[in-house]
Amino acid sequence: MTYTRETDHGTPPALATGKSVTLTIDGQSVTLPEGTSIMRAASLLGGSIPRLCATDSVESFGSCRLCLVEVEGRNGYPASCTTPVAEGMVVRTQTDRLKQLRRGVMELYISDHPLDCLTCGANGDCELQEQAGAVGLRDVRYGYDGATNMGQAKDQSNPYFDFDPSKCIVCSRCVRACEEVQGTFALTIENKGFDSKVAPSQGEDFLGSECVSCGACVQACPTASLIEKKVVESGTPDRAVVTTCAYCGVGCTFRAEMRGEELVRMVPWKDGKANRGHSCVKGRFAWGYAQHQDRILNPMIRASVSEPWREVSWDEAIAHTASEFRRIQAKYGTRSIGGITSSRCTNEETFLVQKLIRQGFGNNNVDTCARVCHSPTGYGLSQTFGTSAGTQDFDSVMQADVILVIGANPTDGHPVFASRMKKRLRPNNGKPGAKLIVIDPRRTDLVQSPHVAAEHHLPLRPGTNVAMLTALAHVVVTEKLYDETFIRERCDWDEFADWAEFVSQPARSPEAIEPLTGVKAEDVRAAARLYATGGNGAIYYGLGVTEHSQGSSTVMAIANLAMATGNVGREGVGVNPLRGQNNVQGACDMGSFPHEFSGYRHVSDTATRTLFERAWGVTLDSEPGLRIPNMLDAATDGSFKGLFVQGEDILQSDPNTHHVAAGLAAMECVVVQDLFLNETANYAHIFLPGSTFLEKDGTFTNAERRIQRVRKVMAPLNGYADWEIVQLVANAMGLDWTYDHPSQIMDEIAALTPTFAGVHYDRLEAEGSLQWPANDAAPDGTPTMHIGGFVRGKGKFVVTDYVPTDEKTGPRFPLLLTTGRILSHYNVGAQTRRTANTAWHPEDRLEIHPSDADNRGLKDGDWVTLRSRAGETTLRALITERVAPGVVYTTFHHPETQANVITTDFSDWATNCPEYKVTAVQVMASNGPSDWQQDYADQARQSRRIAPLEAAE
Amino acid sequence: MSDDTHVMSTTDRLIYMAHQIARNMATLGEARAVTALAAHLTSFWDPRMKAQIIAIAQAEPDRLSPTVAAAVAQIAQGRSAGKVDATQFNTVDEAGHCDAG
Ligand code: SF4
Ligand code: SF4
Ligand code: SF4
Ligand code: FES
Repeated sequence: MTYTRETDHGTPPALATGKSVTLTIDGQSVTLPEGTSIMRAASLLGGSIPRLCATDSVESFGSCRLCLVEVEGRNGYPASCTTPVAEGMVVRTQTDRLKQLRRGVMELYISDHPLDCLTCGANGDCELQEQAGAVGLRDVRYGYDGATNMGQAKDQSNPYFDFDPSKCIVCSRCVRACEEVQGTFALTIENKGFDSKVAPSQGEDFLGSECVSCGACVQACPTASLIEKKVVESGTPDRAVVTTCAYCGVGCTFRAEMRGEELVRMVPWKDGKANRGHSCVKGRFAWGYAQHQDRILNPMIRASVSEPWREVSWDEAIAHTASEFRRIQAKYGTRSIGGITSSRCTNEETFLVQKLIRQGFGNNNVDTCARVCHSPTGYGLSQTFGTSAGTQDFDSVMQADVILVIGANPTDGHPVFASRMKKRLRPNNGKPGAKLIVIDPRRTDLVQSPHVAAEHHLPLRPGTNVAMLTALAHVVVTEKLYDETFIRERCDWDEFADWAEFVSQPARSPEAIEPLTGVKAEDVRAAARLYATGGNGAIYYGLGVTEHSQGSSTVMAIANLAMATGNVGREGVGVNPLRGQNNVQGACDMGSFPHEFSGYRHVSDTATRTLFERAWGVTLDSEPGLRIPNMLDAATDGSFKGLFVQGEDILQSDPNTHHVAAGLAAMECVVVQDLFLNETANYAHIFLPGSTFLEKDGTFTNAERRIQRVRKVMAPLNGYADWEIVQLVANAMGLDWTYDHPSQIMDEIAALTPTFAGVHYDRLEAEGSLQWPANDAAPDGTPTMHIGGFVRGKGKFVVTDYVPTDEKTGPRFPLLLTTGRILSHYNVGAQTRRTANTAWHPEDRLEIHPSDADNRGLKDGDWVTLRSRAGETTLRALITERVAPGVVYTTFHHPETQANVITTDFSDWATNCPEYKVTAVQVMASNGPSDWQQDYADQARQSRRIAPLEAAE
Repeated sequence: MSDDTHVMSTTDRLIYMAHQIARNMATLGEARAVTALAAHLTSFWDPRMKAQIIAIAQAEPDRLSPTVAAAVAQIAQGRSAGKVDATQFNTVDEAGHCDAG
């Protein structure tokens, strides 16, 4: 496809009212929804009225006066961007008088604009230039030497885009984009009239301001005033390919705009149903890691981890991998090896890895990093609702009246969805904003940000989620706020009665648990009443729910609450897990768990197993396999000896680093397939270089079950896409796979998985995306689940007892550590640390309350030792009231910090999802990195050595 | 366990896990908790872990609570396909059955 911008209709679509009007524009009659602007109407007819201050990502403003039109029977020349269509209206968009007026307007703009078009970065992609052409401007009568705003200094502080005030036409599109699309309110127009100019908040430069570098303003800017540095450097793109972001579970789709094989910029795709034309700093800008010099491009092997790596050919690496796995199985048994699939890879790749293990290894020892984040979601939602997935699409939030956010920090973790949520939380066109309840130990940005404030923030002590949710249920039941009709119709009334009796016990009231959670009982009661009676109630939750000893119980408690209040099965309500990595949902769907095939069917189910046995021509194991922590235990015990890890860094991302390291060290063959020599690779014997999402075809499934295409825009630098590498290994092990393209893998998935039966690449091509279940029963996919009834039949109320974690504070470890993430980095940071995103978060910091810091004599920025029963590390303190006294918080994006040296190996009772969110710790002053950190750094340096190639004879 | 140590042997961890699951099922009442626990271990534990806990039940019976011991006994007798309560597999709709765990 050749390069064109996406069509800009000038103003956003009208809010749906159901009414439409008919009018005539330039002699053409057209019928459109009431509230549509004349500008949009003309554009939909294929015309384009000249404009500068209007763009369809933001509400119109009517300041440039370039878009004037004539309307029969009206005086003057109304601005078409701010004038709505009306019944019987007759509009003319191009008359001699209009041409003259527009030229006059344009002349004024150009007289205060540099005329360096030929050398400007936006040359050929500038709306000012284009509109000057469109209005036929040929001369500027004022001359160019009057007072101007030219020659002002550029603000180049942001690592990804420049701001050149000299080229600014003060159209305020950027200001409105920052407010309406992103919701950050970082930009203002300073001064009045001729002196007015755009400025990031209070005289800061962009980097120092509130700006989160989402790029919405850059996208909205009609000139080169806000422009990507990469465009300045490489020139404008010449083609565009739509693909999906490989960072988080929002699953934003982008146009990868290319010049030849070079990626020039990623522009959020307006037709993307997950992101609707918005993006965050990671997907929009942080893709430079794909070409980073640290990327390993050749396969490598070594006999022991104390030796340096030796580069080998693909043939040798693959043959060695296969022979090592076969050797180990011959010696230690069929179940002595296994593998880990990646939530960063495509559905097709994940499916192939689990197929390699089940078909080729002959066991079910396959697990995925979803184990460490959302496995309780799978367990909890399947028990209660019958399937392991969020109930809504993202659009649904616009219909919510009360939004309950638990253990999630969407503005950092799921920024593009957070922008949408904030849009619903702000009043809009006279419609009041939705009410917000936040349950989180930390005062997250959502609790208080520009034009958004939580009605209730319940800052509970980490580890008391179940007690809190049960107390909310206590209020709902004892105050009779439940939805009896819904429950009688959709759920089992007796089960409800059992549950209701349990939650009504006085010991579970908000008053009784106040000492436990530290949250005032009346706040809990008020929040419960609001959720139960405030209209559509939608729950969004994250890892602060799942990564606990009671993760599965909390998920079930959430589901109970939603069912009791009738908040399931329509738009605007529901239970929505915010998934961490881009393809967590997909990895789970594709059968990455050791006890189930794709589509969540247990391996002991004979009918399902027979289906797969027929397709794959082997007998499959009917016993569940090992989960990641179990694999490591088995390795320590000496019965598990070989591991294939695709696109995962378990040493850095899994809890209790010592335990993981000991397990890996006990194995005879660890194969790591990744872009970089990650931390796990320090213990690996074979390294197979991976490919980036830009280098392969496939699909990702986002948090709303939406399956979207990933498209190859450049050849893999390492030679093969990841699915091809798995196929090579499989064939070296004698499996005889013959896939030529990932679409064939998807066809196999569809044939073997009832919920995916209707998913094929040609459908995805035609529809853009599909939300599973997509099959004969739901040919167009399923935006909202459980309409009219639950997948499992009747919704099930499960009694969830509060069983406190065994990780307890005491005199030696008096504080509770909880962990999280930050906007500019992603997971263990392997990619984002290799981009300019480090400008925002160069290191992990320990957030600590002023009173706790005081007690320990700590000042902001001091080095501190953070010690738990599992281990210790050092990092610098950040003193803040965001955390409550007694609670400390850190992120885990940097390997030097190794926050998981601290976390213990306690885990969720049902799924072994590790308890990242609660660790008893002590904090004290320190001088610098701990011994362990130094040893670790030495070991890492040692094991990353690559032997120089021997000189040719 | 002293305040300092946090290193569990793999055997200890296995025993710990079984009891942790049992504690979370306690509200079901003893009889149902036993069946639910047996079903849970059958569905989610790999054969070696099951064999290990059965061996522990024989060698060191006093390390298991009555609930855990009873559930392990059920597994040992191979009649653990019990489909009860908290881990019930459903076949109501196409996406039924048990789930990510
Ligand atoms: S990049 Fe985003 S946050 Fe920053 S000023 Fe532009 S719109 Fe606002
Ligand atoms: S920076 Fe761009 S979008 Fe913002 S006011 Fe100036 S010209 Fe308009
Ligand atoms: S990281 Fe997430 S929110 Fe950001 S662009 Fe990618 S998918 Fe969208
Ligand atoms: S585009 Fe309508 S006034 Fe600027």
